[in-house]
Amino acid sequence: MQTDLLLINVPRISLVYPPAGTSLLKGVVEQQGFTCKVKDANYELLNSINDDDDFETITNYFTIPNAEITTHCQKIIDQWYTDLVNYIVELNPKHVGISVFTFECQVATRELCTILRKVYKGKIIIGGAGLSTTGIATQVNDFGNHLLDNKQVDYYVRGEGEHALTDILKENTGDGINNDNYVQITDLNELAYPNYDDVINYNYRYTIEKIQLPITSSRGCVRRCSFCDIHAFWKKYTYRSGENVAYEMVAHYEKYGVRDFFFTDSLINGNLKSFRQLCQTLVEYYKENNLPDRFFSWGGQWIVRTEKQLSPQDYINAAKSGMNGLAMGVESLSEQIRIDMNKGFTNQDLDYTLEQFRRNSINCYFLMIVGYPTEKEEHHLETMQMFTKYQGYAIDGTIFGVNLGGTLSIDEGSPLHKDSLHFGLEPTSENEELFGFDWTSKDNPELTLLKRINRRIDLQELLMDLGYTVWNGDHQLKRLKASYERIKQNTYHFKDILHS
Amino acid sequence: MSVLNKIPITLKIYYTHSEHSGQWPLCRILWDNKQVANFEANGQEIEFTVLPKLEGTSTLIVEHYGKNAYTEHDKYIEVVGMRVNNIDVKNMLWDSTQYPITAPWDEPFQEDGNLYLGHNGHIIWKFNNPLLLDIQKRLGVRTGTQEGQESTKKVLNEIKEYFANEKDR
Repeated sequence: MQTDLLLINVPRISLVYPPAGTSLLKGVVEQQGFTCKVKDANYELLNSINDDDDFETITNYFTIPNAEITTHCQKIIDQWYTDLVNYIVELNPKHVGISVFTFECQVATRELCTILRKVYKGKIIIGGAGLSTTGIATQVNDFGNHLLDNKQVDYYVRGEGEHALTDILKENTGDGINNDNYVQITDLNELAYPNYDDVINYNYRYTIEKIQLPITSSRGCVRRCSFCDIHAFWKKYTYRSGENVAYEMVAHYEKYGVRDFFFTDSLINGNLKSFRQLCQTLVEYYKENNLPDRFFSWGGQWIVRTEKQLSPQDYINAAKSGMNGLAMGVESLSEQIRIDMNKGFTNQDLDYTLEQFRRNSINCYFLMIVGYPTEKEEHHLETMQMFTKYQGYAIDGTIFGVNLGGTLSIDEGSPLHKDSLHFGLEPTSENEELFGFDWTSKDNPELTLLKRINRRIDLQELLMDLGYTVWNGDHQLKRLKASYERIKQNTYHFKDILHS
Repeated sequence: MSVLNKIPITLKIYYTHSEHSGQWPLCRILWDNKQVANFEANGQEIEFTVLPKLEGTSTLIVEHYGKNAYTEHDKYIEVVGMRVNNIDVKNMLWDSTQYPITAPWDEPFQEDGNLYLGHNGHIIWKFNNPLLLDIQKRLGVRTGTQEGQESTKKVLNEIKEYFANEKDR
């Protein structure tokens, strides 16, 4: 019987656990009576590379503009395309869906579609946040439209894929299919659980050295941070009940034996009622089945809450249920800058949160943004002083990592982009459009791109000296340098930010 | 390592002690052989700050003194915990050696991991510098990233050097 749908993950995405989206979509379309396979081609390529230099060259090829590629690595990539296309042709599904998870998947998607068009007669679908180069909320669906206009794909799917993909399989049309009129799903509890059967045996590079599965309990965000475009994409914050999420975890445990989960949500404590339900349901499941506390381990992105919102007892319950490994968008350790960002928490709230984490052996990871438009030297120094104050949390492992990012990028759909005139932002180079790293502030002219980069470098140096583990610094710094050079040469244009 | 030797480090030592018997036990604390605290042990904790060194080793000494071995048999102090910048040093507490000043009628001895000072004498802890990084290592805190997410001094220095030569247009 011909397979209805083959879903493919392409480079470059993380190798730390199975991609969530494709397996969720598999579960959803199977619930509707279609047959579906998932092929994580990203994993198959990257996991086959044993040489560190080759690995870096190949990942750079997919993610850094104009990165050099050796003949040897080009051969590896060419062979990977050949094998992948042969597999598709042999399987001959009615539809092939390619997950363009971020803009870093565009290079592989474009090339794969080009080759596939010549030899595959079925329908090609693309979908994912990477349809836009400048952020998931942008109305400029540059990549999707480009491939559709060039007839390299039959459909692109904007917004959530669950309903749209089923619509394509049923009647080839619907909201968000080759148009931007996607409708947000309001009841996430109705969706099927993901089906990881096709990828569960892949040896992902789990950070905890055992199988970890992604879980999605909500979409959107309860906050409105000025630099973030998430609320432009997810108009409404939607969430599953805590019980529904807990039952999915239990189902994966009973089916695959998996006890470790990472939440893909923008935040796992957006709805506190649902969050408490989740913790409570898990603790009760452990008790009913004579399992110890923390039998599961689960983590995700976290927002800092006040003591009034989350009590010490809430932290105790969360720890008992197995919560650990939380990524927090702290962004800046200057309270004033966080007020400017509309982050919604004080230094006191952060102190409280960190102390609760320490007391309950919950570890966390800081996500930072260097060079917010209002950031002055004193704010940068304040951030450095606060990191010094928090050093103990890095020493005892409460803070297990810091991601400094690539300095502030202006994403379309974010308040900073929408109200750029109000914020005094304008392109640095001859670009007409404001995007990415190419911006300067009339209200804070000293904060040049070079200044922002140098602060980013200073901060990384300090953190490494203080014993913090800085994550992804090498890649971010190289990418920053590449972007800086393109801005300097006036070749940093968002439509051809990648290989043009 | 430009800043590590400029930031004072706070140490807190938790202890128990004998009851008041005319006098409380007397106690001194030395950091790198310099006295940083001298007190009657009648509470539960003593806090002090030290300025760390960048290299080499540092020593922490807790000394019990002033006990009359003939008349004050019950007098003692016992170290029960230690925090460095509020970090619980946990098992490192027992990575110590006690050097008691024994009574004339006893054989001199030293003992590892004995935190009960019934004699006059001292307990010594040794640390490598930078102190906090040594504690991080000895606590077994994971400091690596997942594969492909590394941050190396090599790349940092290369990028730093590149941008050091750049100027705003």
